[in-house]
Amino acid sequence: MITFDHPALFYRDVEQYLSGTTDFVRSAVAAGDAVLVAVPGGNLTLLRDALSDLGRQVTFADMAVAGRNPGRIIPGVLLSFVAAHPGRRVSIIGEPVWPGRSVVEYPACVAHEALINKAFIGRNAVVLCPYDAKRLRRERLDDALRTHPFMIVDEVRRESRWYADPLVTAALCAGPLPPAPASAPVAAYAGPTDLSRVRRFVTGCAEAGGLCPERAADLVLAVNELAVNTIQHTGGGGAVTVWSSDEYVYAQVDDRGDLADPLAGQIPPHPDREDGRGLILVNDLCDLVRVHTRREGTTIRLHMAR
Amino acid sequence: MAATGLLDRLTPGDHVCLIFDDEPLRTRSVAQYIRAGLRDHHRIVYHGPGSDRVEAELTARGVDVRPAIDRGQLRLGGECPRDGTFDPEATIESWQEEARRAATAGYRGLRAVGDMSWAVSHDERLPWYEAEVNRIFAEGYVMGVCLYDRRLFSEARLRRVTRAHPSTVTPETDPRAVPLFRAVRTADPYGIRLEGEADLSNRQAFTAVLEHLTEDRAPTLTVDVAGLRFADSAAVRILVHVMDGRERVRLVGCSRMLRKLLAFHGAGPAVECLP
Repeated sequence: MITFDHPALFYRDVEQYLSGTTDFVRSAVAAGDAVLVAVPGGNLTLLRDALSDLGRQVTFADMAVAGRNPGRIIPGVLLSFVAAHPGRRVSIIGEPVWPGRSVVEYPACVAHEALINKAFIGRNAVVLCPYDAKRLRRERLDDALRTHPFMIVDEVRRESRWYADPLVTAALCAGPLPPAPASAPVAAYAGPTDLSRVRRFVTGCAEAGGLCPERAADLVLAVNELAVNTIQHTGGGGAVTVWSSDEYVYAQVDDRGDLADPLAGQIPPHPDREDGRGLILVNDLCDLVRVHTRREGTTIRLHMAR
Repeated sequence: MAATGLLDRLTPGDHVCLIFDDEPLRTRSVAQYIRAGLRDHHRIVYHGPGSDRVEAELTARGVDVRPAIDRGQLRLGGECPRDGTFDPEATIESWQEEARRAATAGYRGLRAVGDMSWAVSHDERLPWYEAEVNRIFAEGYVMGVCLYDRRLFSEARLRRVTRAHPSTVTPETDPRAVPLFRAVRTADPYGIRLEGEADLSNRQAFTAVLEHLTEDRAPTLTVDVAGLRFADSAAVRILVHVMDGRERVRLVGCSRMLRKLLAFHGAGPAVECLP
């Protein structure tokens, strides 16, 4: 029987964390599932030690690295693991939210948690999401109850009464972004022959903003893909704005398109399909992608850590 | 005024779409391009009206046009298509024949320039022709500049033909991006050399040149990408398709970004990336 299960595990200490997660992994391994543990740094060390006897039956990933950009967790961490184990049920521990997640990153984490419920429809899988109930703020725990159909608290599993329509929750995360500085340089584009000029503009700004040439090239490729989407799908042009802060170099693409599907950039298309990979690539290249959709257009803000 | 001078950077193998909306600029650009061809010992063929003006412009610039015409190095005028019907296959054939004659006559290259205004009434198969003709340019002997008058073609029609050119020059083009892209076939090692930037603006040209590689079934293909400054995701996907099914493909001069995109598009184990 194909079922998908997506519970949130609230833990208050190491003991609760280990009992909730290791029991899950051990019973999944015993059942013959493909098992992935994708949790951030310190918790990863804990689980690697606690599960060392299982050897290669468990795959580990550092969520703070592989899932730094919450927008790449579904395609790049979860679904790629599913694709690597065809025909098998998969059991995953995914911890995308931790106390160090910044205010800028956090809405993308909530959207990610909501969209898992849609991305895994029809897949034989369990994704267990641990939440640090002691150190995470109350509002973030409330969000976990909105994005998970089930919750496990003090080892008791029950339905979440607060679970909400994932697409509505994801849409709430696509609200307005803090404005770009008025002094930030802008390059407008209208057609394909403008792309090389846009790339030179982004390269110059990104390197001036302190990105090394390799990271600047990543940002240039990401912006190019978004500008191509504008030209091919909106029937109009767009504009790229680039600026930087202490933390990030930002490139923002604005156009009049309507990015209606919150799952865009989340689910890899069939290998034979020619299109549908642009936003997945953008998520793969960038440290954070925030989206603001509204009736008049779409803003996609790319963040590259300096 | 961006176009003047830029055409001087072109070499055999290049195929440029020059979009203009200003007659003096057009004449000046053509004269400059022809002058460079005389200097480089190329045979030069200009198709289109206004050859008198081009001749006057060249003469004004101190180029002795008559002897070049008399010795067969330069041909001005001539309409395309000749009898009013456009046969893309026959046109491509005739370019191949023209190239053979120029080579036999000892010229270092064949330099074509064509006023495409006639295509206003023949645009159905034009993008196909402009894309297919790239395989002649990819042999590295012929170069071409196609002149498109912005006042005659709609933006949508222009976009369909620009995509078929490796490089497009408009009055707004950044000189550093000329020519944007060049693909030249190599015999030893067997394969192709890609230079410049492959993006949406030259997608169809890129596709046409690479797809012609699939017609030859040589087991090992060498793709020299050292000069490929940028390739977007779709271009790399096309490259991966072309490489599929080969016993062995060597990519020489692979950048970190290109490796990343090849992995993203699932390039097979037959693809060997060399620094």
